Amino acid sequence: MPRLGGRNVLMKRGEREKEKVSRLELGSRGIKCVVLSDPLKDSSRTQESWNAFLTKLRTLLLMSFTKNLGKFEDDMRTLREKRTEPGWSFCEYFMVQEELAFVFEMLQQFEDALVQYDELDALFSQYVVNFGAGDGANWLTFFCQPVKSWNGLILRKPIDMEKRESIQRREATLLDLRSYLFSRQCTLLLFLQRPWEVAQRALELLHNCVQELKLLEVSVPPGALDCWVFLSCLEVLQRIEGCCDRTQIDSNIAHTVGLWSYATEKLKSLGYLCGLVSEKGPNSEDLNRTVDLLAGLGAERPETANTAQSPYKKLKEALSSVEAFEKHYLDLSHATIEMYTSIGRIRSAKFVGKDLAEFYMRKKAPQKAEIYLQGALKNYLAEGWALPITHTRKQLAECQKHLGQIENYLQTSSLLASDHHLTEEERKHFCQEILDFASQPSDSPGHKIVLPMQSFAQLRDLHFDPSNAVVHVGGVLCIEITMYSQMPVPVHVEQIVVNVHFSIEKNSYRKTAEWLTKHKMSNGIINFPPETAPFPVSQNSLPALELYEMFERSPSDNSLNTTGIICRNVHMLLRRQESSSSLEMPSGVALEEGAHVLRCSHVTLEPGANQITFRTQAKEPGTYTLRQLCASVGSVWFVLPHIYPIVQYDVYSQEPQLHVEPLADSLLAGIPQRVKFTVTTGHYTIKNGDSLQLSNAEAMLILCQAESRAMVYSNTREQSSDAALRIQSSDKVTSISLPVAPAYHVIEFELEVLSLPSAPALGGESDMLGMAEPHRKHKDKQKTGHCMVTTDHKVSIDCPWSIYSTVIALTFSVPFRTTHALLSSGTRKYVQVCVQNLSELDFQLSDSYLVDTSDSTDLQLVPLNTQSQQPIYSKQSVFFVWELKWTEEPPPSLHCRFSVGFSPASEEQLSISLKPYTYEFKVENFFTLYNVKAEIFPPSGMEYCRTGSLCSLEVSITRLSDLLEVDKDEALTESDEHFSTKLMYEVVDNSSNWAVCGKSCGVISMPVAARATHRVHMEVMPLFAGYLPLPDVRLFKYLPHHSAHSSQLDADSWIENDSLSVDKHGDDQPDSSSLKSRGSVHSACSSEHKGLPMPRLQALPAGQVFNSSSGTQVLVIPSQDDHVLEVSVT
Amino acid sequence: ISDVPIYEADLSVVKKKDISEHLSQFILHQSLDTVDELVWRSSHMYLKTIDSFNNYSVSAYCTPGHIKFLLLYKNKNYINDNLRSFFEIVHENYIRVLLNPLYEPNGIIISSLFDQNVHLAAKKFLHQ
Repeated sequence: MPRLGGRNVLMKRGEREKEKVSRLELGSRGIKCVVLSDPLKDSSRTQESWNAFLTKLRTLLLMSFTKNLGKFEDDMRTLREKRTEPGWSFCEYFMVQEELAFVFEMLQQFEDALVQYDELDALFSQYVVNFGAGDGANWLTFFCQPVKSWNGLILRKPIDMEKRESIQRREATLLDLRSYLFSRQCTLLLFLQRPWEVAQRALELLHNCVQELKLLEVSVPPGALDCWVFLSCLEVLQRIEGCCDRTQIDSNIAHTVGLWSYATEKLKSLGYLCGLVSEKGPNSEDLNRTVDLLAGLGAERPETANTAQSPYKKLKEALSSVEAFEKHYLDLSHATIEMYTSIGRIRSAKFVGKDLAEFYMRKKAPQKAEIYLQGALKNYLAEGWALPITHTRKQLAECQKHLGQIENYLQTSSLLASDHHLTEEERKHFCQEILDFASQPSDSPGHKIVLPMQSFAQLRDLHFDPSNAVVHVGGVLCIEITMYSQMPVPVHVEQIVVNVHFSIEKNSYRKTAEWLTKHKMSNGIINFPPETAPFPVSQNSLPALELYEMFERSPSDNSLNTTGIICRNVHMLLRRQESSSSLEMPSGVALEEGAHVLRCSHVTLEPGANQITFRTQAKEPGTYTLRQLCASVGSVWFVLPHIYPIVQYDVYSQEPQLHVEPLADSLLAGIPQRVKFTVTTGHYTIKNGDSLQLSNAEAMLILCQAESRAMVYSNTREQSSDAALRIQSSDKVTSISLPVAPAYHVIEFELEVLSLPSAPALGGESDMLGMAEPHRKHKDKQKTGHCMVTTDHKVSIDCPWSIYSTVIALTFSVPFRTTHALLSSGTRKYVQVCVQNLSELDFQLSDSYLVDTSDSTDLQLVPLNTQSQQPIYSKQSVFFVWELKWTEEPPPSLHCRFSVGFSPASEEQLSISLKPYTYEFKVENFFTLYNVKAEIFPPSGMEYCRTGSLCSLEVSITRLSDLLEVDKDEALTESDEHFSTKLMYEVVDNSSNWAVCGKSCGVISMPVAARATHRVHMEVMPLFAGYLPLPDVRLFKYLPHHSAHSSQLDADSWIENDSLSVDKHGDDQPDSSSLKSRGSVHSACSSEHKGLPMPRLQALPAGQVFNSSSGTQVLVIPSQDDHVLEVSVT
Repeated sequence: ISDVPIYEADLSVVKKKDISEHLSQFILHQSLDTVDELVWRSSHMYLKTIDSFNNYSVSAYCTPGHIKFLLLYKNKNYINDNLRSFFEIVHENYIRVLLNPLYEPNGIIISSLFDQNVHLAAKKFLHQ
């Protein structure tokens, strides 16, 4: 609400208005407004009446103003609505709306006043924009008259009446209108204590005006606008300075610096325009232009005439001479840069700095320009702005050239020559600069200019040949590199050198020849990442923000106290960035001088990719690391200080070696087998006549084949040649002459070897499974189960490169396992031989023989095998049977040798005849002495046996022969020319079909005479119905306790059997009950009980007892009252 | 954090320019200073006209991820809404680029589709 005090002034001025208000008020109502009491009376009534009067007056005044202003605004709006009509004048309307602004201003309503000007401003701007779009108002053409005066803004007077009048007269130019409008806005803003808005608006205005003049195509003399802007900037700045103190200004640089910068820029362009920047000073044309520009300024205004530092005076002075211009320009520039820097607008500071550098360069002061150019370049490089980099670098190159910084200049030139943002000509120019310098005869020979290679050429990839980058001593290594030349023209390079660092890693397996040749297998190509310079990767390498929510709750009621976001990796992100890359710092590159270098001379690098091949002969074994790459062009050296990723090659030396290994997983005895010989020559060169001398193992033949050939490979497994192998054999030695082979090659050949079948094996006792056991002087490995028996053969080989023999062990496996068994049928005897093929191969068996080695004429072995040829497949068995026949008394033992010829089934024809496979065994006590016959009869009166009913078991033991040699043991008793022996029988039913009732065993005295028979009767009860096998009847020899064999047992047996013997001691006479329970124990252990001083049992050899009733069955029918039928289903 | 340019395009219809390419980059680069200040004062992504250089103006737009779009133009006629729409479409397309799993954030944008869409947006909103 307006204050009353402010209005008093207005009341005096606009008295007419007030009267009008009162009249209106009175006229319409026709009543009294106020009743006033005598103010001299001091009563409450008086005071009240006055108070009421004043309040009423205030309200009415306000109402009056509101009403009037409202009416005025309505009128004004009506006028504005007519703006599309022809003949409407902006200037006229301007005056109307300004009147309103004046009213507000007088009412101290600066805000409202400002709004009026802003509306006018916006309206005018809109017209200009519309004019630009082709929608022109004809009154606007009035503002398009050529600019003749450019004396800048005038802000020191509240109202520039001069300009106002020109607007009123419709004579104002665009600049006049804008200037006046802004001066009014400025005044109001300053009333409102908003000086910074002035600065901001001023900058906008200045830009705006320039653009509007362009848009309206107003003709402006060159430099006029620059003058106007320059003056205006300074005027605004001085106006602001005039109403603020220093600290306020210093803390609001951000608002004013734009004006400073603009002023600097404009002064610069004025300087260039008026020839004040050139070295020679302005020429006459420049001077004319200066005079014209100064004329446009007019005379200085009286209000600033006394000010020493007025914008007018400054401009006039600056344009007056080269020196004055320099002073003013430098002052402004430095001030601007300082301000920008202080508020952190580094980019803007660098941009102004770059202009300043340009100025210095014009003034031939490159030493001053350099720092600004470097600073700007560093900034652009850090942010990767390609074009500014190129432009700044170009200026820097010129600067460095003037300064005579040869190295820096050449480096910058190389960077520019490789810069694709420059034209081909410019690039060629800079490239030529380098080449020109390089071709100059150097003052001090040997002086090198070392430059980074990066800009000259880039290392793209590297390729080793051999590809595994491993080479033997004396071998040739090729390294092919691809260099991508950045130069626009072909460049002749005197030499390209790779410095190599040599190191020996001893005692490291990783560096042995074996490891290197086998493991270091790569494709041999190393790619180098393309350099991203000049674009920094710093931003990408920064880690991502790690943000976390953070809640802090009060411990008492768990309510949220604070919350926020925490960045966990601030330390990473806010770390100070490495000050710019060393790209521009050639001094950082050190040239390494090493003893080992790879060199390539006289190369012309074409633009783009170039292949360069280095060739070296390996000398010392060790690891070679490629460190630096240098290319020399005259005295200029381009150096790549570090080759990364690390590139290495290895040189090794190797001792000659011989390896012998079977081709298959295992070697089989008895048939020819192939064995591979590998000779790694290492550093030894195989000469003509060098041979391997193999000392023959007695049971292993080396089969000489005429067609065997040897292959020669290089160490990298490339075949180089092959040659026939000459093998000479004598009794003791086989000599293999090696083909001629250079060092670091591999000779491979195969030989056939034959392990002779093992010597005859002696079979065990006839009742045991015989196992072929080749008895050799070598260690035999016999494994249980189905593993083959193996035999080792050791061969000692003399190699030409060593005085020592190499001993090689070859392990052969016997493919067969043979077992034998004695079979009986009454007194007739058969020998069965089982051959089991354990190998993976199929064989053909032929010509099986079984001969009696004792060669008794009495004995005949009649083969029952029909086929002479018999295939035996892998993992299968073949059985052979012979019948034993004799005419006279049979021999107590029989030594047999089984032999069978065999050959691999797959092969058609073998070059050599193979030895048959033999197997020897011994069969003892094979003649049948006793026949045991058991019969079961149903109870008397019954046709069949019934379950649960007792049946009788008749066992008859019949002696089949008279006294024989085998009977002569301690059980034999002689009385009256009659011999008898003690036997123990035992009836055991392991399948629990029968219950033996009463004694199940007993000792009988058997006369040793043919046909002597002993019968035993006992009762058994069938437990199940059906065809039941008869219970076993076992026969043992019952030996008296005075044993002659006791000494044969060792102490272990004593202890082992102790408990059993004590147990047995209790019942000397073995009775049925005790024996029944231990029957099986006895039978198994009986032969081991010999040493005890008690009667012992000895099992009769299987061949001596024939059980004629074995396999017979008895029909048992179920008992009638037994209705339970057990059915077991399995 | 440095402001490495990740995409540049010349959207002008008239190929003849009274401003050299490097100067336009200088102006844009310099105006980043203003953007850096305005970003924290404005709650909008579109920052309007932030800088002028002679008769050139720079408008800016800053995404929430602080990717800045700068447009240097000469014609004063542009309506703010058009500029804003233009920037919004560029922003939308930029997000599509970001969605590409093969695009590394802050990497140079080489997508031709993006380029095409930016030109289309320019045609729609700027070349009237």
